[in-house]
Amino acid sequence: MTSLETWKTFEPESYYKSFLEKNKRPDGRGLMKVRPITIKIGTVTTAEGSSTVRVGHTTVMCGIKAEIATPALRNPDEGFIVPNVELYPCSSPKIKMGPPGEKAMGTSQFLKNVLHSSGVLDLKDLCIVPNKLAWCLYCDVACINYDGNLYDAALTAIMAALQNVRLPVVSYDAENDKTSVASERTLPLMIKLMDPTAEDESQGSGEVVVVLLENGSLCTTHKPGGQLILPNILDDFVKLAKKRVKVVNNLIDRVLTERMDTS
Amino acid sequence: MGSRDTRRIMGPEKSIPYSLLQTQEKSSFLGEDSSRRDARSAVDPRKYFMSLGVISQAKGSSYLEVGNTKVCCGVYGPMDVQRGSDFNMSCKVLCEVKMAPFSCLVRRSPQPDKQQKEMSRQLKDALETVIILDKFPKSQIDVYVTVIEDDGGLLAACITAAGLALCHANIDVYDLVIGATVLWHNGILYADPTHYEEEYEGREIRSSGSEGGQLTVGMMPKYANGQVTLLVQGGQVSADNLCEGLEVVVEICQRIYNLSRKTLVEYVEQSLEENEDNAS
Repeated sequence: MTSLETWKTFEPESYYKSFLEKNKRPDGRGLMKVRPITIKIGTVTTAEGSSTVRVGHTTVMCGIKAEIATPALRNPDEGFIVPNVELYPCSSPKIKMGPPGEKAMGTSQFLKNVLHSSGVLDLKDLCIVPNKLAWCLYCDVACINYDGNLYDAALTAIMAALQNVRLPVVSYDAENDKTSVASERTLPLMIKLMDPTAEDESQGSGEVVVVLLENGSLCTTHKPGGQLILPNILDDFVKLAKKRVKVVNNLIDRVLTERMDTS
Repeated sequence: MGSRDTRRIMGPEKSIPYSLLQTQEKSSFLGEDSSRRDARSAVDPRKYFMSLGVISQAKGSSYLEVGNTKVCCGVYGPMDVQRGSDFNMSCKVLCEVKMAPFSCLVRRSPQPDKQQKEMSRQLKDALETVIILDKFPKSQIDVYVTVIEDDGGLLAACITAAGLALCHANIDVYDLVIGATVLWHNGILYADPTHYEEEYEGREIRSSGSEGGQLTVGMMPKYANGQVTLLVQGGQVSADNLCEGLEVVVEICQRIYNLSRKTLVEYVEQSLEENEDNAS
């Protein structure tokens, strides 16, 4: 153990304070500086759409599996989108084996809220035959390495993977009640040009997640308890998030066009 | 799907994979020009990719790609045994293999199932003979494997990944453990089968009862005199064939061993260089 680690273990308060005084974080970043982000798409061949996102050390993979289901009675012309987050015990020593913990459950619900409230995907587009057939997209986010900022990484991964989805053409014969599916996957999803990207700032004792759409409107603001913050600090967060949304969206676009060129 | 899971967001009550509705082409084990579908020769394993230290939080970690099969392994410990467990003079090994829901052709429910439990058990049994347990009394080592994509030879890939991660975590082992799989089809031996080949052979054995099967071996090729830590065979194979298969597997293991060794040495050299750079 180096002397620095010893200091961190025994006097964590003075350790972190010494960095804060210089407006730095222990990894050498400025307080308002974000970690580098890399996005890859089409990383899992068994999934209909997939992506890998790294934010600093945090690595998440999103794979989208499409299945065919019957639409719900209440919304006969809508499909389903089911986001789930799996925090695997290999990703961090804090995560134990067994059913998903609060963190995974909270993030799943957060993703669901964002996907449904932002209108990224019109669920009506997922309908094949009203009252009969609809696509159900299972968006599973697997966390391989958990080093903070899960909301941001998971949301970015889902957005990138959704844009990578290719579905086969389904034809339905009403007379014989028969369904056939083409063997080639050709149909891309109609993603509206609204792309939510989250920004969260871990403040040691609390975090704030701001989800913005591409046109700059706020979609979800999420502050699960923690330290109290002033409204003007929230303003700063939104400003920061706006900058980041541009960066992330440009990155996704670039990856997508690269993919188009190669295929 | 069984009981409803209240901890996850559930979709509709019933949904079916669309592949069931696709018209099934008549498939054959070999491709059109009677070579393997990925144009490999019968005894060639697929391309390997290994990297170490992919999980920054873990004591040791590895990432392994065998063709399209992708697994990731994290090792934590040695640490204190969990409260309430019995006092033991040797180390306790805890293994869990988790398959991502999108890792297979048909989505698998995120709830634990028997295949994952079985693989965890097999991996645990293999690793208990690899780790020098007496060196870590009263402690426990956790080995977690996450399967990102399954394209055949999964157990073998998990064993190799776990072996690399144990070495990366500086845990004393007798030797680097390596896994490999072979498959018999029509009396011919094929090394490192893909998921398609495994499925096809499995279907054929069930339907016609013809001879064929597969063999997965975990072994320590060098310092432990090539002792076998795990051997799982399925299907119908004559005893003579098994011996022949074992020889082929040992040879493949030797090749993977050299590659893993190179990866480890390169990793050490690289981290030494980085340390020097930081010091100067």
